[in-house]
This record gives sequence, C-alpha cells and structure tokens, in this order.
Amino acid sequence: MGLKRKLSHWQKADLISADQAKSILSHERQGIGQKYFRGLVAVALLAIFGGCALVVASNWAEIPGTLKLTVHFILNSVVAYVLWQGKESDHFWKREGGTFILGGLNLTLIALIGQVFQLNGTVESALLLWLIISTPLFLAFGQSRMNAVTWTVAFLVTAALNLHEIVDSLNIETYQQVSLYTFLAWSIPPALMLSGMSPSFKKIRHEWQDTYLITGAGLIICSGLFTSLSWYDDTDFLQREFKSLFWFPAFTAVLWGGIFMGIRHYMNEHVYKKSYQTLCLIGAITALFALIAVIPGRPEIDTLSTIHFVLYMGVIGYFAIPLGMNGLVTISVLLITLRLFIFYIELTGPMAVMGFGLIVSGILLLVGLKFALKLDKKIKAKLAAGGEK
Amino acid sequence: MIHIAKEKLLFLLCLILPFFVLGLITITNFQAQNSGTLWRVGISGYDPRDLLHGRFLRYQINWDKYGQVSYVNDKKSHLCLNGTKGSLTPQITIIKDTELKGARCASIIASGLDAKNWNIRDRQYYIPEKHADVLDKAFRSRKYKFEIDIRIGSNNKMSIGSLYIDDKSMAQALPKLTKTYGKEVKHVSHDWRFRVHNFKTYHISNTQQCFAYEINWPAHGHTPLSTGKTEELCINKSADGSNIAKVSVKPEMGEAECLSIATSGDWANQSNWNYPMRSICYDLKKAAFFKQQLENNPENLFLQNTMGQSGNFYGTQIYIGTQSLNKAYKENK
Repeated sequence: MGLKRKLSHWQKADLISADQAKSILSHERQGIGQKYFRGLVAVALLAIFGGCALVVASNWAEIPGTLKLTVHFILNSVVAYVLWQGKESDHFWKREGGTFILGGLNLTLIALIGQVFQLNGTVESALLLWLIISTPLFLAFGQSRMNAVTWTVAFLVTAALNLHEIVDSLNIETYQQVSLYTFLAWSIPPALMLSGMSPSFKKIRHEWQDTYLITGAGLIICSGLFTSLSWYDDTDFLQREFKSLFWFPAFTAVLWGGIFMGIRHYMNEHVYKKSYQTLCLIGAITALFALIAVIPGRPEIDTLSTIHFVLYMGVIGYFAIPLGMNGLVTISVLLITLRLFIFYIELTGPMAVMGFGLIVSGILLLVGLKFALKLDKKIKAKLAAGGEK
Repeated sequence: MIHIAKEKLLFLLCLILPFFVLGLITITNFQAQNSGTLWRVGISGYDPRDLLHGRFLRYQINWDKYGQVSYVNDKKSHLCLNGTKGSLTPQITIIKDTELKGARCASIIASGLDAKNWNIRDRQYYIPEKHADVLDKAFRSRKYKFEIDIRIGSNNKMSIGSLYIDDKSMAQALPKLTKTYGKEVKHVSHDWRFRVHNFKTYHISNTQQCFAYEINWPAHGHTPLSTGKTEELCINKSADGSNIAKVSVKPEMGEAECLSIATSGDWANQSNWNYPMRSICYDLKKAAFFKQQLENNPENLFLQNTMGQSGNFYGTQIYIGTQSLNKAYKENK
C-alpha cells in the first residue's frame, strides 16, 4: 500500500488529522530524491565490492598465503581505524557498522589462518577463539541491537558447540560429565536473563540488556516446553544417565527455582521494573515444571506430557498479559491448540490419517484454530480495555 | 582527565586484542612452518567413502612406510625421526617417555591430542575449491604418490607444509591432473542395438497381445549382478563398427572411453538398463507377424534404444535385422 493511501486510511480511522497527513506526505516527499541517490550509491559500491570479490575468488588458489594474510590484516586495520573514528566522533554507523564488520573479519581471518597454515581446526574451536577475542570489542564499541543480537547468537552457538567438548575433555566419570553438562546447559538461559536485569548494565548498554532479557526469557520458556517431552521417557533414564547423581536434575531445578524466587523477593521496587518480578516468577514456574518432570519416581504416564505442556503454556500466557506481551499471548493460545490437536492424533493413532479420520482431523483442527483465534481476540480486547482504564 | 585517558586506553585494548592474538598465532605458525627440520612423508585417504570433506582432503600420514609404527592413543609414545643427508625421507622408530632423554633422533614428534602431534589420524588438508574435484579423483585413484612436508620444531610439535604429487608441488602437478580428470565428459545421443531373448506372451485385451522379454546382456559381454541397484555400464560399438552394443562395467575414471554411459537404478524404472523384464504390445495382426519372426529366426531380433547424456533408455523399438518391425510389417502387408 502506498504512503498516500495509507495516510488516507489512517485519516479515515481518525488516527491522524488532515494537517498531519499533509505534513507527513510533504516530509516524506522531500526525502525521496535523497533516498534514490543513496540507493544508486549503494548499487555502485556493491558493484565495486562484488567485482573485487569475484576477482579475488577466481584467483584465490594462485594468491600466496602470506599475501592473503597481509591483505586481511590491512583490511582489519582499516575497519578498526574507521571504528575508532566513529567512536571518537560518536558517528552511529561508523561505530556500529565498524564493530559488526570487524567482528566478521576476525572470524574470516581465523578461518584464513587455519587454511594457510593447515591447522586442522574445527568450526567450534574457531568460534570459541572468535568469541574470546571479539567479546571485549563488541562490549566496548557495539551499543546497537544489531551488535547485541550478533554477539548473543554467536555466544549461544559457540556454547552449544563447545560445552559438550569441554565437559567431555574433563577427567571425570561419564555420569559426572552428564550432570555437569546438564547443570551448565540449564544455567545459561537464567544467567542471561538475570544479567539482563542489572540496572547498571541497562544504564551503559540498554540494547544489550534488552537482548539478554528477551533471549534468556525465550530460552527459559522453550526449555519449559521441552521438559514436557521427558514424560514420554521412563524414569529409569535418571538412573541410566546420572547413576548415583539421579537426584541432580531435580536439585538443579530446585536451585534455580530458589534463586529466581529469592531474587524476586529481594528486588527493590524503586530500582527494578515490576516486569522483572514477573519474569523471575516465570523462571521459578519453569523450574517447578521441570522439577515435576524429572523428580525420581514420578508416575510414567504419557498423557502428563500434554497436561504439562498445556498447563505451562497457559501459565506463561497468563503472565504475559500484565507484561503487555500480546505476541506471547497469541503464541500461547496457538501452541496450546496445536498441542491438544497432537494429543488427539496420539489418541486416535493411524485412524486419524485414514479416510474419514483425516476429514475429522482436518475439521477438528479448523474448529480448534477458530476457537483459539476467538480466545486470543477476547483476551486482547480485555487487555486493551484494561489499558484504557 | 586521567579517567578519560584510562577509558580510552581500555577501549584501545579491546580494539587491539584481536589483532594481538591473531597476529601472535600467525607469527608463531609462520615461524613453525619455516623453521625446524623438514621431512616429507606419504599420505593416503583416511575414509575412502568421504575423502573430500568440503574443501579439505581427508588424509592420514602413512608413518608405517618409514618404520614399525602404528597409531596409538596414549601420550607416551613419540616418534624418533632420522634420515640420510640430502634426503627428506625419514626412518622412524617409536620411543617411550622414559627414552626421550639421550635419544639419538634428528627430530622427535610428540604424541598428544591435537593436530600438531603425530598420532592424530584423521587430518584435513585445505585445497583450492577450483581444483578440489580433480585432486579428489587423483587421490582416490591411488595412481599418484601424495606426500606432504612436515616441519618439526624444538617443542617436538609438527607443522604441516606443502602438498606434493609425484614429487611435484601441487601447482606443478595440477595441469597434468586436470588434463586427466578435469574433463567433463559429454555423451552425445547414440542408437544402440541389443539382442533380446526369453520372450513370453500374454494378453491384456481381446484386441492386443503383449510380449515380455529380456535384454540378452551376456551376448553383449556383460553378466548383470542379481541385485536391484548395480553399476553403470560403458557402451561402445562392436568390433565390426556396427551399433550392436559392446558392454562393460564403467571404469571408475574412464568415462571418456565410453560412447554412452547407461545408468542403473531401481527395478521399477524402465529407463534404467537394469530394468529386468521389458514388454511390448501390438494389435493382434502385428503380434501374429512378430510371433512368426520370433519362430523363424529369433537371433535376428534386436531391441533398438536411443541413449543420450542422461544415460537413460528411451525410444525403444523392436528391429528385425536392420529394419524396424513396424516397417517390415507394413512391407509384408
């Protein structure tokens, strides 16, 4: 939809006045020429860099290793210089773009060193080295969401790829390795979320703090959903995997539940947002659900997986309402509907995908989705009414 | 003022850290690759099913060519390398931790957990993507002597150097290898004639009669395996220059020697050469004519196929001698 039509729609919906629509239109029209100019400059630069990349790529095998490394180091130095200039002059794109590009160049340089010297390295070791040398750079210079997300994703991928290797290299029994791995893997999301609540962190790096909070909370919710799958397994897996430490997963859940409740209790309302308390509560509830799923001697009933999932997602949706997170409410309602539909498939087995069963399944899914949509609309209407009060 | 200077210094350190670490790694490796004692050792494929892993040649060093050495998992068995003057080929013995002191070795390579130790079996050698396919084929063929340079420093760690193929550097060997393995073989369409046998008649309606039959592969020099998926076939003209197919199993590297390549696949697909029972249907009159030919001179019946770049059978027709059945039938009428 064009801007003019969009503005006329907004005007009709009484969102903006005729004067506002006129001023927005004239303001946007002023920028059109510049936009086209910038677009053409971008095309020209893309052609130059693309051409250079093609020339280098087609002669890659013939270029000596030392020359490749020298050019790469020079390229890194040029970007570092631009980045420094950007920091000094507080130029947003020079600083943020420079951090992002230098971070990327560090990674390609690591790969190039590995190639030139035939170092036999792995992707995980390259990423670990990158994370170690680039974290100070990102923390010091990157203030934008782009760099915060880049670092967080790199951190999670590196942790996922390296954690197992690191624990595996320790000279301890296998069941102790499994316990340590479980503890570390379970601790990363809460650690991310809790560090995102630090007021001083918010002051110096607002976007990073936000990214940590969202990523940590998102991972906690995902792990809460994931633990519902453990109901399909027998409780023997605790004895098999953790041996004499069979109580360890339950202990880890209790520990993190306790930490979340403790922090929530001692949060100073003047310093911390109320939403942080809700997030801590979500963390504690996740730990409680995880505890029930991994407690030794729990009943072995597959249906409890569905109950776990639906109840957990219901609670998350409920707590998302005061946080004003409409998207999370919709996701909760949708996931509950889909989980119930999967439960129906589990119950009816192959019957659900044969002839008449397939028709019934389709109708049930449609009815379920329609109901979910209605429920979602109702909740959001209530939310909006609550907001107006 | 001091605070600002301190902060600036901190930022500068964060910026310099990657340069410092990566620069150090580069210099250390550069020094390791250009100093220490130089040896040249033979290599072979590590996993014959997967030699080319991305842009890396997967290899293992053939230490056993140079002495009684077999790969170990411990950290206590080291390699002792000695050689004759002017030769890069080592003679190798294994020495234990306790023998390290006083051992008479020109170089020692320690065992351990990383690629700089001798006992790491699965190694990867970076090769240029442009030549990866050619090098992979040459390496796989085992017709060439593949060797790498290793440098061993005073810390008893080794650094991997250049790759040599038949005593030539990779760059020098590549033109010849590209000539042999780099050609993309394109097969033009050919009409091939095959002898057929084991005819069985069956009816599918009151107006049509069908014949099931098999290609007589042994008559063309090939006996197919009894399994569903088999090898690809190399098809050439027979000795008299006619288009009666001369069949053999496709050689691993010699596609160029075949006029056509027939692809194999599952038995359900008629276009694969190994489809077991083919069939052909005619109206009752033509079927009677065909039956007559079959009784008179079964040796004179052929199946003619066109085979193109894809290696599939298509355009299947029955021939009587050099004349198609349809034409012979029309003339007979």
